[in-house]
Amino acid sequence: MTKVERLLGSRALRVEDPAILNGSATFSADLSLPNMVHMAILRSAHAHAELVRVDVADALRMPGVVRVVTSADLAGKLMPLPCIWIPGGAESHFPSHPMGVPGAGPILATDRVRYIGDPIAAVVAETREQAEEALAAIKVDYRVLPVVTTPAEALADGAPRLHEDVVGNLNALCTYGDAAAADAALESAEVNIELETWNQRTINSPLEPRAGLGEFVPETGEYVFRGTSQSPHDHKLLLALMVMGIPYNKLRIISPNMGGSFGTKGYLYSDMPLVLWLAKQLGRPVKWVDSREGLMRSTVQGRDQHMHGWLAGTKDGKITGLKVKSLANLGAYPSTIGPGVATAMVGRCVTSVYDIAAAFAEVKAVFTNVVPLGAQRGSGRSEATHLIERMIEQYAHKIGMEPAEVRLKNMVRPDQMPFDNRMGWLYDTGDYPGTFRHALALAGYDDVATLKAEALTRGKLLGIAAVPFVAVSGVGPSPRMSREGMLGGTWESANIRVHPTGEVTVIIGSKPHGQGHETSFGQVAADVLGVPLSMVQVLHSDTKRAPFGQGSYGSRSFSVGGAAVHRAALLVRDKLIALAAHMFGVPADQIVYHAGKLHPNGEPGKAKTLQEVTLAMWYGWDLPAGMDPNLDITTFYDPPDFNFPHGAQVCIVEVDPRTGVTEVVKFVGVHDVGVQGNAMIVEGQVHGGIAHGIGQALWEEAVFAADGQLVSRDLETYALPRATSLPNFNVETQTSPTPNTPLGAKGAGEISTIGSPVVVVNAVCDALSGYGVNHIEMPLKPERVWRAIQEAKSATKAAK
Amino acid sequence: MTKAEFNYHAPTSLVDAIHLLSSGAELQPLAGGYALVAEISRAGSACAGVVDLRKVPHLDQIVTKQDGYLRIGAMVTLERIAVDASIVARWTGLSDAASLVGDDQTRAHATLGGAVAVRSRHGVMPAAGPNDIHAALLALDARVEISSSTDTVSELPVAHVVQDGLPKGSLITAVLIPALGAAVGSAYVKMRHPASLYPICGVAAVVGVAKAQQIKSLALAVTGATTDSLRMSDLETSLIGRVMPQTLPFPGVSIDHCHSDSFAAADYRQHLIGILTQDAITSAMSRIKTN
Repeated sequence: MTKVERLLGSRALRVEDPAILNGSATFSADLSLPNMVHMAILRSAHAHAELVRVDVADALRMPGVVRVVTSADLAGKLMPLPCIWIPGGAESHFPSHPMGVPGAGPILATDRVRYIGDPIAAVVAETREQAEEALAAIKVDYRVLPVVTTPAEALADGAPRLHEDVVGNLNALCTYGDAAAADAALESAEVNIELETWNQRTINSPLEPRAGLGEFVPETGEYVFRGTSQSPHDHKLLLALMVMGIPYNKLRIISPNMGGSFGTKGYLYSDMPLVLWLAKQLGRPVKWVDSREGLMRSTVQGRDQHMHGWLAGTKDGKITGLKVKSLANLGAYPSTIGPGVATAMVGRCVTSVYDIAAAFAEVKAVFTNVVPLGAQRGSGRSEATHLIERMIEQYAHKIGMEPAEVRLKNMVRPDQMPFDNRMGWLYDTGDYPGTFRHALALAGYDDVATLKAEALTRGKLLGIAAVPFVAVSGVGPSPRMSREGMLGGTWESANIRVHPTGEVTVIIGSKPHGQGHETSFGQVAADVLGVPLSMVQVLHSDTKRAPFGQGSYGSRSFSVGGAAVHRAALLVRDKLIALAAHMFGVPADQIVYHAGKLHPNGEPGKAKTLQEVTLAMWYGWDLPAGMDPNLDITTFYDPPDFNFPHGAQVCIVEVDPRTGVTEVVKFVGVHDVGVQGNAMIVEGQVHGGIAHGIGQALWEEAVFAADGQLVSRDLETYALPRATSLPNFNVETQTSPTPNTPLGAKGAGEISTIGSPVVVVNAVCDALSGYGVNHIEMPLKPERVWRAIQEAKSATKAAK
Repeated sequence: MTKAEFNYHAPTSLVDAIHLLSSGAELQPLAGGYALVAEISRAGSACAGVVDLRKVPHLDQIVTKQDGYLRIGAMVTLERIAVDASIVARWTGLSDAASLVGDDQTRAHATLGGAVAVRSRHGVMPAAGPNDIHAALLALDARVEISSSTDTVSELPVAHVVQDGLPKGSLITAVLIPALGAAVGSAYVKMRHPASLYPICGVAAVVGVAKAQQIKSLALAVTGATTDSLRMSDLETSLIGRVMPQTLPFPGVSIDHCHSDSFAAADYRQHLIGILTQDAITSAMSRIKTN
């Protein structure tokens, strides 16, 4: 008997790729409509200033200019942007919004600008070039105000207040865990470790910047937004209800192919309502495409947690307590879900994979005059993991224990699952120590002494580190997200219709931005229905066609949305079986469904194909009592809880002590994302996440000058990882299905970003341990590494 | 920002190209386009249009002349220079530098003439900015062949072009590099900026040795660590006549002349000059064919 390979989890080639590779795939910038005009946005020249006067008269006279708008034109027409994540159970303060929800800033600046991306005016012209050239003709008189770029500055007495409604620039103060227990553990500890570290701000850098094309159809009164959106239905709700004040069914959002996002394109930005509103005003479609430099100063950025940690432990390596205080640099406005990402996703994650009896975290989210903070692949969890893994490394050195042993000693064991991490998460499944040992073995962790000696002959210092991690994923159970402070549901949906000719169309409420939903979601349906993947078509990204859904974020698309597809496919199969039973005149439990065919048990020769049964359902001539014609089923799925993918990574670096240059020479990872939809796609996600993490460790750094100007303003000044700067990754998997999704799938999009920055930093610190270096801040720029060596050398000299 | 109005010329002779460039219309010569297109895209560029040189004949030749001089046409790409057998064998420092410019795509387009002519895009005019090719050519005592509207062909020392740029209305047609002696080797080493790929510090060395590894002649040029690329004459003088020491007697460039920014401070760059100078000299000496 030949073994039939299951389609689910197989490395099926991505059905999206031919069009993307041959250049025929449509992205937002490719869109064009007849009679279309182009918009450009004037952004603030200063990080903090009063707007004294905005004079657009000269700009209106520039060639091709059709319209120039400022905040005065929008008064009473467009409401401010909303923020929909109010950190739960905590003190929180926001700018106002007329609908009583938190405000996230006006569509165009009214009397004040608060960061260098703040939009002041929009120009519409016949061509993009004309619109951009006319920006220079707008005269703006600013009265420059004092600037704060860090949370510490913003919280200081006498700091300039950014928002009238927010005293002391404090957006939210959130606490997690047991403060008294953590303090007691710290006081009575045999060993104490304290570390202050800044998880630096990084700039989300998808290949494709954001874009939008607004259209108004006067005959139907319908607005159509075509452009970059991770969450078309969510954007539709926020725009219709909270910005434009129009009926939900008079706004259609279509999001074409997207060149990545990392979280950014799920947020709501001024340009989205602007192109729609202007399209109606002008009676012409209005298109806007951001530039790289525009993206870097106005699209939400990531990380930026100023963290302070205290770890308590015994002399023999048992961690007894953990306390964390973090200041999140929220930037000038609360981005759509920024405040929640910056607080809960850090505070509830500080204990990572460890069983720590007494833990506490406090996160303050603070407004400053920099670009608003938002999500970035792995957000919150990566920062939390960085802090504890740096501290465990220092702890192990202090007590003279092998760091991997300390980790294993404190790790949550499989027999403790499900495990309450005492900070608000209930870890579902997984063999954390087993995964960690798997990674150690894969990397040859125990043989590193030989490698170190060999590197030294070449003048290089070799270092190694191993880091385990876990990431809350699969956002999420809607009631739970409500308690967390989110204004919105977080369920997902799928519609499956089987055509009378037997082909299957799956329409999902979720929306890919490069993850390959058409392939892996198709695999789910094809697997259940026993048909080849080529017979399954997956549609998405058009709110007029797709069932209500939420979108792709928080490592939820496959684990939550895939579950909706799975459910719908099972209901389709049940209905096929019910009709087949009727056709064969046998009870339903006597029907065998195999490889897209149905037959009575023991009589395979009588088999009818899925197509034959579906056609009978289409005709509807002879259906069993109570059965409606046709095969068209929609399901919604709200998971009972989050899911928790985990993993472990080992990194080997070589440092040139003369120059401080670090090279990652080996990177090994073992990841467990539960049941996979497509193993090749998961592997691609894992590779991307590792590159992302190495990028933060070594290169990425948003640099703001004291006056709030962005120094790292383009890709010549902001360093991203390059393929030529990375080694080949060696990755393997473990599989622990979660009970929290019907497929057993866990989130896969972010997991490899969680530990990859800190494993690089720990490896570099290991390489330099001979000098007595025990911490270096990211990014590990050559100069910073070189200075750490020089300082450690002179400290040693002074000690002698 | 992309300019709305733009003139494009593609002359088919050198005379026409120079005529256009000296017409006073603020036209810029376009070779590989790597620096220029980015410059034009930036707000505030005064460029009214370009004179595309790709159809001008005879600018893409590499010739070794009878007197041993190497003549490289201005439109020769850096990729060709990086792999050209005679350059790799005899003027290795230049092929090193060419192979370390930018990435594969940059080198396939960027030309030698463009690399020599380019000025800094970071607002420190008139400084030429970090430039691998400048350093290599300075150490090799290269000369730049220039044609101008007055129908003359002249040669300028490369240092002149690095320091002052090109005379208005003139065009680089070739770069001339003298033959190196028998016991002379050259090298260029670099630490690159991870984003721009420009040198944080780059050092070119051309080293001649006498018997017993004594340094007989030495040319050292630095780029990236300093605002402009320049020769380190004092260091050259101090090392000639000596065996290469374990550490340099003094920094090649005073700290006042070292560049500082958010990626690397002046004292670190000065330190790098020392390290890379040693590496460049060692590498250059290792390439001398010992008979």
